[in-house]
Amino acid sequence: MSEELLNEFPHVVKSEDGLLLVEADQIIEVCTFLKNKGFDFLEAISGADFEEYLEVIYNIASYSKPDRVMLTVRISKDNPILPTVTSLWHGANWHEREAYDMFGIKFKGHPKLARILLPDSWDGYPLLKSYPLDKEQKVELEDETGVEICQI
Amino acid sequence: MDREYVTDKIRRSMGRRILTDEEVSGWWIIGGIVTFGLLFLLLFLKLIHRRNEHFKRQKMLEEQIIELVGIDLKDKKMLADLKAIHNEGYESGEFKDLSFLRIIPAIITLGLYIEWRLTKDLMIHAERQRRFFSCYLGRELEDTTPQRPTGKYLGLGVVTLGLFGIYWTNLIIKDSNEHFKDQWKLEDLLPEAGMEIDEGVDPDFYKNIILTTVDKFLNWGRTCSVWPMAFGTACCAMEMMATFASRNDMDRYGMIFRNSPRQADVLIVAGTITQKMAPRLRRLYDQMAEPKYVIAMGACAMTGGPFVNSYSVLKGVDKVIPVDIYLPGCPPRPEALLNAFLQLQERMKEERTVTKKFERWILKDRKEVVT
Amino acid sequence: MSDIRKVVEIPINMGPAHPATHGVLRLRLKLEGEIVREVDPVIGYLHRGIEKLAESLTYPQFIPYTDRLDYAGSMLNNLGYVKAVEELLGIEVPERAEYLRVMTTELSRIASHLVWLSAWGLDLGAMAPFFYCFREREEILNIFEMLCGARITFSYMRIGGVSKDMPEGFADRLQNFLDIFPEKLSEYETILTENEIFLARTVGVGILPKEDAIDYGVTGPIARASGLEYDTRKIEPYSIYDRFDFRIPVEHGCDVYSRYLIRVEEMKQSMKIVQQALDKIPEGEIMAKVPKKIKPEPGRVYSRVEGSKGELGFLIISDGSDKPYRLRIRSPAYSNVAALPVMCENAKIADVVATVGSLDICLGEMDR
Ligand code: SF4
Repeated sequence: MSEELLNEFPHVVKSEDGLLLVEADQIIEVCTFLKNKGFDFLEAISGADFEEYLEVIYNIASYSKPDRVMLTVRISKDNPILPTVTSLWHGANWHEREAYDMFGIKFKGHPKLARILLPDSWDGYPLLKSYPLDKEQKVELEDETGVEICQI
Repeated sequence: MDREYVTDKIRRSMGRRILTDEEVSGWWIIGGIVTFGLLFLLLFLKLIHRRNEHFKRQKMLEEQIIELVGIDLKDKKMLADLKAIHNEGYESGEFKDLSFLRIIPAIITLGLYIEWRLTKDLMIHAERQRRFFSCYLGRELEDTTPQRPTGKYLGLGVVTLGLFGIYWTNLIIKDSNEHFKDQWKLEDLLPEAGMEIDEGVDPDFYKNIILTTVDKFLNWGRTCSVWPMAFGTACCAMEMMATFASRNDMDRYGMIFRNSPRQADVLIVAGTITQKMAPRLRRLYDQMAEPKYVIAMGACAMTGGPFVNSYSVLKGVDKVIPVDIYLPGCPPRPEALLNAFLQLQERMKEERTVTKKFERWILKDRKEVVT
Repeated sequence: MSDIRKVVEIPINMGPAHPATHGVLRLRLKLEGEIVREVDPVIGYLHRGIEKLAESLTYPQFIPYTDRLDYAGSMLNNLGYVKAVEELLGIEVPERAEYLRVMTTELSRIASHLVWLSAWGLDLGAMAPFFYCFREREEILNIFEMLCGARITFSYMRIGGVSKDMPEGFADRLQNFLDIFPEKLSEYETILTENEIFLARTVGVGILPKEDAIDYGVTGPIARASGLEYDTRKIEPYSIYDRFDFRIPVEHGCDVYSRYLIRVEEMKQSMKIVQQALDKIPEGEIMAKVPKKIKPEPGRVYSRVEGSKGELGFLIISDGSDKPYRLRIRSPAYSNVAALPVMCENAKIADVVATVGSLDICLGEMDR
């Protein structure tokens, strides 16, 4: 499958160290192409933090055959924005929200880009390598009405 | 196990002495004579109860002292000696509760049986206790409890058709009262002395027969129907479910799962509590009706467990709610949870709700009574 | 006049401490009378930061954490993780270890489905299955305890094999269980499968059409109940699954009842696999030759197994040190719950309980 992709998108998709690197702004086109080829199962969208850049990894498989592809998108750390694929798979919604929650990666056009696993008041993005494990968080132990019920 | 914790426990057992070591007045004898022996039955029950409670406390105290010596481990010989002396208590049947049913042979033998038994037990107990404390304090203590010739008394009792028993009972009351007083003095000599009781509490309240009886009755009811609130968040919830399911079957202890905090007595925190969840936990706890208890089940609820290094996990639920029983394990087995419940029941038996209410009512000026 | 008949939308909060959410899932519902107009699942109440913890642990040290992901069937997670590391290292697992792995994972699948059945029965008001299912589950746990000493958190699989061989008497006990289990299974079926009340509460409830299932990346029994014949064990056989004779049940009802049928059938198939494995298990080593210090080459691998809830994937990025640089867990329940709004659209509020129960969620795995 990777050859096919490389032929179809010669300027967008590159092969490097066994990875398929895709340009950030063309990810929708590549995914649409894959989906039309039968790769209809979006397994996961994961973020990863390398010191100089962030990576977003798309695992795409198929419900009917054993093939899969792993696409990698590299984005800069200062401006981590890339388009969302929720228009292709609704399932991408939560995966992208998680990437936002953990790495601060912003997905353009996402219907509801908010924290999903951590409380809304959380400060920082915990899966970044620069986030210390023992960072103190100011946890607001209040209920929704704003009444403080306890303090840690 | 740290030293301070055990010392605290010792203090608590000492503090319990105002509950267990009740002084019995000699007027009971007069009352017994006036009612032609009827009051004697009650008196015997009371004496049996007092014996059981006192011995139980002594047993706990000794166990804790042994634990303390074991922590220090300075003196191995002393530890072995203490253990040997402590174990004698098991052999002589001292640590076994005297059943209230023994009142039946007592009636048949016109009270002689129970008198004989109580005197003997007290003598054995005092003797052993003296040796125990002598060993612990490192100097010989004098024997203060008088030795009574039980065989002779028994004979006298038979000859006088039980009338001698009146005098004998008097002796028992006196001896025990003396023994308690001596022991209290002795306990104050211990290096760990200092009692942990609710400060400012008037011990009289804790001896009041009406209040304590009402309390005991309430506690009996409570211990027989502990309804836990199922608050399972993670893996420990699996074991909690298993405890309530067919093999271990908690229902036989009168424990039925409730899903609403309003109907529950015990909150079992089974599983990891994250910082996102902590306010909810606190709120559930606040919604429960008094008296309420908390069991922190599993390493996660105790300290954060395997996730103690994580950024989002609360390091112990005791940061947000008070905990009564800590249950270690990852996850604890169902048997362990069962044991935790039984321990909780023991603790519930010491609850003095009515007494405290009454006290608050009488001592109006004291704003807050420790609950 | 029209004002009187207008129904106001009421927001209702369900969870995170709710008996029917099987843990700490929280649902924000918008109701119009009895009808649910909108469902918004709120998750993360059990987010324990496992992925971050993994970055500070060596490869073998992480195995116990996989137990705590999907705690209803921990063996499956064990397998998923060690398989990923083995693929990274290129280790061949000995034959006997593979058989032991298959046996334990399939038993784990049965145990997990039993928990699901009992809890879901409780949700629907059937108390009896709870006691029946836990009776059999305890037996499975006893078998596991014999094998590795733990009841829930096994850490049985090791990188390159398994930790213990079968003890004496294990095979007999397992055989005994396999002999009695079909009978017990039919007991549950008599209680539920044709039960009038049960049918009324499950048939046609919580519909998830096939297209939506694909759209949301749903896997596991839920996908199979929506007519998708997708099972990693068949589509890309890992371990030694290609040697066994079993079939993947598929239903086209798309509803809650089909999911029930699928899971019951899966238990039977799992039993068949265990039986075959027990009959054929060869003698031999249980651990491959593994270096003392596990240090994979730099690279990345995505490996998937069929968990009891669906496809469980581990993405490991290695930078050549003895700790994973990044470990990502693709949990099946995460995607499955994302599809909940589709299933609950315009349903009655009581059906939400049935639907959520039928998803078989496990929050430990979902929130990680
Ligand atoms: S203590 Fe262990 S078993 Fe219990 S919730 Fe925590 S990790 Fe899970």
